[in-house]
Amino acid sequence: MRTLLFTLALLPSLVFAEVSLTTEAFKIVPVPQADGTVMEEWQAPEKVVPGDKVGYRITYSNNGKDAAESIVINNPVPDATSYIANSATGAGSVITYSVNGGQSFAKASELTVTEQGKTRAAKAEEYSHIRWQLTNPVEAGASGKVEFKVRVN
Amino acid sequence: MKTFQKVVLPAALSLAGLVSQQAMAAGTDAGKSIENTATMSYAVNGSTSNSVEAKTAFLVDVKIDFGWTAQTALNTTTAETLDAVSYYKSGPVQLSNSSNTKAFYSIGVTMIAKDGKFTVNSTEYTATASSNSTEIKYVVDTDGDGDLTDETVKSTGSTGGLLDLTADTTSQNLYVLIPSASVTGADNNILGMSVTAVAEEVLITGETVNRSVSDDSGNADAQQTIQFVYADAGNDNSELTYVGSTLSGIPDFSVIPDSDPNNDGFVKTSVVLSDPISLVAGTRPKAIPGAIVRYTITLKNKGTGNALDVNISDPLDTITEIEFCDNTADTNCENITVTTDDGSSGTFTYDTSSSTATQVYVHYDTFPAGGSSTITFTAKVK
Repeated sequence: MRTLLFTLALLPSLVFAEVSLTTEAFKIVPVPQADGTVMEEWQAPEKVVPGDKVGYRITYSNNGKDAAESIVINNPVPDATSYIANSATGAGSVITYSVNGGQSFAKASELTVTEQGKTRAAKAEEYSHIRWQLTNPVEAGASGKVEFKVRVN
Repeated sequence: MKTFQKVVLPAALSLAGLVSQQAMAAGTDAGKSIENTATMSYAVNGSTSNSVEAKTAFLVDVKIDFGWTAQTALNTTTAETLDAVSYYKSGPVQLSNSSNTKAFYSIGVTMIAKDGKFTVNSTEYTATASSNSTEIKYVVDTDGDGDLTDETVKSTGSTGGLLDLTADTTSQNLYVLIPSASVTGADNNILGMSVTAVAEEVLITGETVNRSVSDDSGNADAQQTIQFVYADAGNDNSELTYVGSTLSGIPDFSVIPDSDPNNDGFVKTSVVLSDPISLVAGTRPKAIPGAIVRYTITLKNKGTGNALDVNISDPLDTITEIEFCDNTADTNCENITVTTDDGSSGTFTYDTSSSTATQVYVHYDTFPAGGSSTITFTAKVK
């Protein structure tokens, strides 16, 4: 019985981090609407082939009793994909990017690449990492999400 | 010098309707797992907590993307012997496989005849009856050396030999083969041929066993159709002529011997403009050495379908050579002109490899149903 009680006592800390994180992938499918516009639907990632758009949703939840602060989410652009310009979103966050494998981050407008001695603005497909810095603490019991899109090479 | 008004079916005359697909990079291999990893750091009450990681992954599916482009068609009446069988060879069609894996295609050939019966090994093709023929074969120049004798002749149809193309194949030439001994038909018969490629199997990178392509609905470009139009090489009205075209709308450049030439699809006429001796005004010039002859080729697409990628080649008689103003100071010369009734024009060239050009070549991207075009040029009698 002692053993059982000990195990139960450990369960919360083993199963629930104070702030949990999940990531999901979706196939982005354009769906024509009745009014003639085309809306993008995020569907299960089935039959994803080169050229398709894939959306990633990263969800954080504060399961603890205290507010979580200084939250930073870092997501390398997956291999065999290219980041789609201006697709990263996240309410209440500052979004920056890296073109050097995550060594440094900057806003999209400030990112540069040097080629053959010449410096130019970085292209979205050259981004290697995306980073979200949440500007406010996440209160206990609260959750949020950030998203970005890539195209499969 | 022959002056004639007759069928003109020069040796290299050939018409090919086509569906063209630009080859694209194949992309990420089928079967590859694309994994995403997100990492989060945070602090609670001023203390930094352990970072948290989350992962998700999906597999890249098979993308079938088959493309082909009809090349300048060959003289199909030249039979070629492969595996001890004499075939009429048509094509080539340049193949590409932009799929993200090795793909295996069955090649189907459907034929339909027009203006009479056309028989291949006792299978009769008429204007209303189209069907596949097990007689039809195909061969691919896998090593690109132009020699087909070292290649494997395969059967068409769903149970025939499969055409395998590795991912990122950009150019392999396919030829459709009709056993010449089993073909019977009257001169000026027309045979339409529709070639179809259907993806049957794929071999995913890292696997050793092919997978069947059971659901192809999500894969565009897995099936393509291409049409050929053939014409006779003989220019003598005695050889077998067979012409292919679309199945739904057939372009028709056929001729009806001994009928009104205005109803014919191909008509070539000539008139002697001048000769070096008949200098007196009003004297009819003769086709003697040095005479300048104007040739006129009139084409009419009498059919119901547009003819695509039409190539007209007219090798001159051995006793004449082209007399373009660009190449001569002769004031009787006329440069080649091409006019069409719809205002479009073909592109035209002639052999500039020597000072005595002997062949005119005209190309039309699209020759519309009901459209006509006239080609004129001059030649000097040698």
